[in-house]
Amino acid sequence: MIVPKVDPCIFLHYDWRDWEPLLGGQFVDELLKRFRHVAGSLPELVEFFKESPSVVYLGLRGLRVGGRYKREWLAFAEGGYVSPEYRARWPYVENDFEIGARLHVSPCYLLTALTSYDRAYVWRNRASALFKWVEEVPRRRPWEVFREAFPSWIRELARERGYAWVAWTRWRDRRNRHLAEWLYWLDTGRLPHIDIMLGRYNPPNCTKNRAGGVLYNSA
Amino acid sequence: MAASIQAARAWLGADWDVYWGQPPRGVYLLKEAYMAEPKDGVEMCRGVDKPVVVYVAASAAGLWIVYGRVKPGVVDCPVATFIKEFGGDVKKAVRTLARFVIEVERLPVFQLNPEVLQFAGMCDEYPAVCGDPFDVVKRVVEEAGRKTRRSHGAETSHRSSGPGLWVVDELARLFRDLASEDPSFVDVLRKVLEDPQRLRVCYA
Repeated sequence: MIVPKVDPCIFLHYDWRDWEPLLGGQFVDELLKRFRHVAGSLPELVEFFKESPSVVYLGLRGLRVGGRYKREWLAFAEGGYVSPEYRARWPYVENDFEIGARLHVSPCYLLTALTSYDRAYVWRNRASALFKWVEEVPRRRPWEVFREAFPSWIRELARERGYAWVAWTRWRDRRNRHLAEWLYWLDTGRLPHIDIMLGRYNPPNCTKNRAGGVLYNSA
Repeated sequence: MAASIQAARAWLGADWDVYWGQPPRGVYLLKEAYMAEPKDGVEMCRGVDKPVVVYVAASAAGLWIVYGRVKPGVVDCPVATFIKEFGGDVKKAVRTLARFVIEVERLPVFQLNPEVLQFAGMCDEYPAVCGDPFDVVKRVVEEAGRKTRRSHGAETSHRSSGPGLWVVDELARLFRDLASEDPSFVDVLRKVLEDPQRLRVCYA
């Protein structure tokens, strides 16, 4: 029984040094064994996952996982499904700024195998803004594709105002927490909820609120 | 046409086991869109000479990769499954099944499931299958542009089927295979060649 300290989103977290502390040596050895036909070391493996995130689940069938994230791992290993919900808990920043782009699917959903119409429809329905920038969800190298495809104005928002600020902006009556995850992931190649878990969330661009209080100082 | 048991046995060899019954649970080698639903075969399975539904399943790195033209399920026809354990050699397992599909079943490579090829790290061998359609088209256009510039510069008019035209080669092979099986495809090709613009109507 393997007990990872993290959910399957780790496969989109490209800092391989975080993998062993979070997954455990046993899990990493198992991954290296199961994917030895494409990678001989952990950095190579992470590079492979970076290229083909939607096929990771194929190598995890039958994996016995326990612990806090057991349900997520089971759904992923046996069904190729990762929930589209947001995961990062951003500090509250009061604002009513509205962003006219709907992106209410977490980047973690890139790991989901689009084996049914329902799963593909989640992208079209809840992340309709993406399809103004790409023709379809890329099967290979999505990080690179989206880094090029996202419009610069939306990425500048996070750089100028901070990810937490973006997370609390609005799209109609909803907040843009998913969008903040995307922007953090595109900028760093890491997922914010994992960085928060590791106590590393200290983005270079501080989050300032309009009242002038500096919530997070830059590193 | 689905391979008969004899043809499959002859091609796969004696080191494959065969049993009567459904294949193990795993990932399909073909895109699901190209696999028939079990209920679609009700009529075929009603007669006296029932066809045999053949599956070929290879196990590698704990994963069963299953080839079959019908999604596993309840059918009235007899079902035979060939199985073999490849240990950790995923590439060999996928390559064997892909060759079976192309050489014995004579299906076009586009029916292969790109996820399986990506998982096996075999996208270099099947670039037209693995690539995003948008990328494939972009690459063809870029390579065609390079080729045009080169031929303009050198004032040459040679025709090459080098790596730049791999998609065209694959399509030519596909049409050749189709035409050899079904002569009516020659007429389809003739119509397309006479008026290529007609294709636009299909995709407009």
